[in-house]
Amino acid sequence: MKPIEFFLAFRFLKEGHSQTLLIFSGATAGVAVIVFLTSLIVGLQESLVEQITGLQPDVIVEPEDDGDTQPLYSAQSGEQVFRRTEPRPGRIDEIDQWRPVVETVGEDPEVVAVTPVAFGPGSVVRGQMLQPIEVRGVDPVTYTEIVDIEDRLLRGEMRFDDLGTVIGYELAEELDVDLGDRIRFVVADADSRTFTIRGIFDAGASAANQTWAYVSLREGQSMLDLGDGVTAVQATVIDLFDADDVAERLQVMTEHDVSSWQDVNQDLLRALRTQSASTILIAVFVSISVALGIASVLVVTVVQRRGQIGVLRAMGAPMGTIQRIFLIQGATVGLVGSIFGSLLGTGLALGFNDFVRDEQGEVIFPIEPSPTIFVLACLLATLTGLLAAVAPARRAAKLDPADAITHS
Amino acid sequence: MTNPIIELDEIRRNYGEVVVTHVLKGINLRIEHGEFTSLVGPSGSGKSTMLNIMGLLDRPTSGRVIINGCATGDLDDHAITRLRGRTLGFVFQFHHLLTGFSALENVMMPAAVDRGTFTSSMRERAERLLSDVELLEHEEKNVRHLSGGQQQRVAIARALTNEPDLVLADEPTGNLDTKTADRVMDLMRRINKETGTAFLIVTHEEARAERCERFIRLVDGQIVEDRAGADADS
Ligand SMILES: Nc1ncnc2c1ncn2[C@@H]1O[C@H](COP(=O)(O)OP(=O)(O)OP(=O)(O)O)[C@@H](O)[C@H]1O
Ligand SMILES: [Mg+2]
Repeated sequence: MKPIEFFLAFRFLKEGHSQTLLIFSGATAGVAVIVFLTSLIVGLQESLVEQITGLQPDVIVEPEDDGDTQPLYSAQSGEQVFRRTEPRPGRIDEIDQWRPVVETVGEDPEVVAVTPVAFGPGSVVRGQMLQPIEVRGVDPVTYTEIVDIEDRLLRGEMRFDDLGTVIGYELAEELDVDLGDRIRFVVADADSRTFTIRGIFDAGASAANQTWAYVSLREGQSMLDLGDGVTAVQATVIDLFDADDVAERLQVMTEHDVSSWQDVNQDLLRALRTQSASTILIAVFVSISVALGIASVLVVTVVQRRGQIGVLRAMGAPMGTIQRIFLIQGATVGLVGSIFGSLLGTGLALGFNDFVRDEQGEVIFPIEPSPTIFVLACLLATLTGLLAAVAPARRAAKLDPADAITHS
Repeated sequence: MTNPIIELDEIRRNYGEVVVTHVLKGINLRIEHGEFTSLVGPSGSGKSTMLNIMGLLDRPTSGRVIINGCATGDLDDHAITRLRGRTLGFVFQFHHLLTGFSALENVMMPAAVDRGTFTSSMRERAERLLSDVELLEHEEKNVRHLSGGQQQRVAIARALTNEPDLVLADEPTGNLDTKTADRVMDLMRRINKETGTAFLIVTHEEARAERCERFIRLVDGQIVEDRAGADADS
């Protein structure tokens, strides 16, 4: 490409006045819509995923479903055996040999943190009544590397010394207790213990706020009658979206049931994918209409400047030069439109962010302007402009100079 | 003796496949360096067709176009474009100046297209040409705002930018009033004398055509008259 080609292309655009303004606005509006929509969807999806994975471990190792049940009866050939697995009453499934499991999981290169936990059903005493809760015995140091409950603490801290507990704010409200107050937990075999409230959290999910009661791993194990056992091993991985691969790998290595957050949230992920697909579809249709707009305006320019194009050819401009003059125009409209459009779309997204809040005045899901979307939008729009210009450019280059000069 | 700038050898040009129109019926013509020639003929006789073929804007059905000793029949589009840009200049009835561009930019354009960019020496030359056509004071003006005669003078300056050997002018005065037309004609004659650039000018007015060095009449696709004009000795 030669400088003169850019010079002619830019000047043709500049001299197009209202026509040019029209296609620039079209491209800007198109890109703005795409950037706005994409930011919105990406923001929404990220905050959804974050909400979910913030409370869940990326990868979880659990006891095998029927790991310690034996068939009561060995099948003879041709016989059908109905097998029924009953949980042992009063006992919670625990992980065989959990220490080597923690070690194996921790050695995986993708795993950044691993923790054993002891979770089980329990109750809290409320006047004369018992209210069901989930006793969650955790090691505060490693557990907080996996679930960011600390960020969600409203008051107090994640500390369990001297029979401390950390509960959800909804539970605290129901029991009408606060930091420093004492509450009594009861587990199945009527073993009851009194804990002091050291922290109150808002997990962002009602079920968690109403039932989760964190205690130290030791206390959890002993209340749930696990001895030294744990009910699960949880881990965090480097890339959230690799969790399923890591789980698959660990399943083989640990010979335990390993699942990822994706396994647990399949429906949600499917919904998110459908949403992404429809966003792409909208982007495609918007791009097509912008491309048609650019193409039609460029065709008008070709017709208007027919004679001039003929003379350019007569004075020694090769076909390639004529073609590139129009390709550059298309790409420029796309590029400039995408820069303004990205800014406008980002502005809209931020404005939307500011405008749409929940009843507490909190931003519902924060949209962060993403340089990736910006760059992608610019590339997409420039390419669209370029493609839109192909037909007009060929038409201009193929003009018969003699005919263009005499008949226009 | 040097080669003629252009030599037409049995040029024929037909239009149409089913109903064939024979527009040029075997033209033989040589244009020498420095010649100032007029071409007249009734409407539809094939003047524009002949000029377009000479200017390599159109290809003949048969026959050869030889430019500065180079047969052009086998050249590809790129080579022809180059050759045309460097040896020939064009002036048309409609100036087809680039609207929205200044007079100076229009005059520099053939050189810029050839070199791929503008240079300061191009600007100097273009300014000299504009002053030759007495338009230097309008060099920065958008050509859209010039009068018809001024526009045609810009077009003449533009035709001279690449120092062509021959300027092909198809009814350059066709759109101008008599007085302006005379001025444009005189201008071309003066440039011809000063620079030695050859001109081949199509015109409708016999009187004006007579004032050239050489006078060619085309009738029905054939040259019927080719003689010295009144201005031959001046
Ligand atoms: N593209 C074309 N297709 C078919 N016929 C054509 C074409 N171009 C020119 N002709 C025919 O060729 C003949 C000569 O045309 P040309 O334009 O060369 O005439 P001219 O001498 O320049 O006439 P004028 O003085 O009116 O400009 C005309 O009969 C015209 O109809
Ligand atoms: Mg004609």
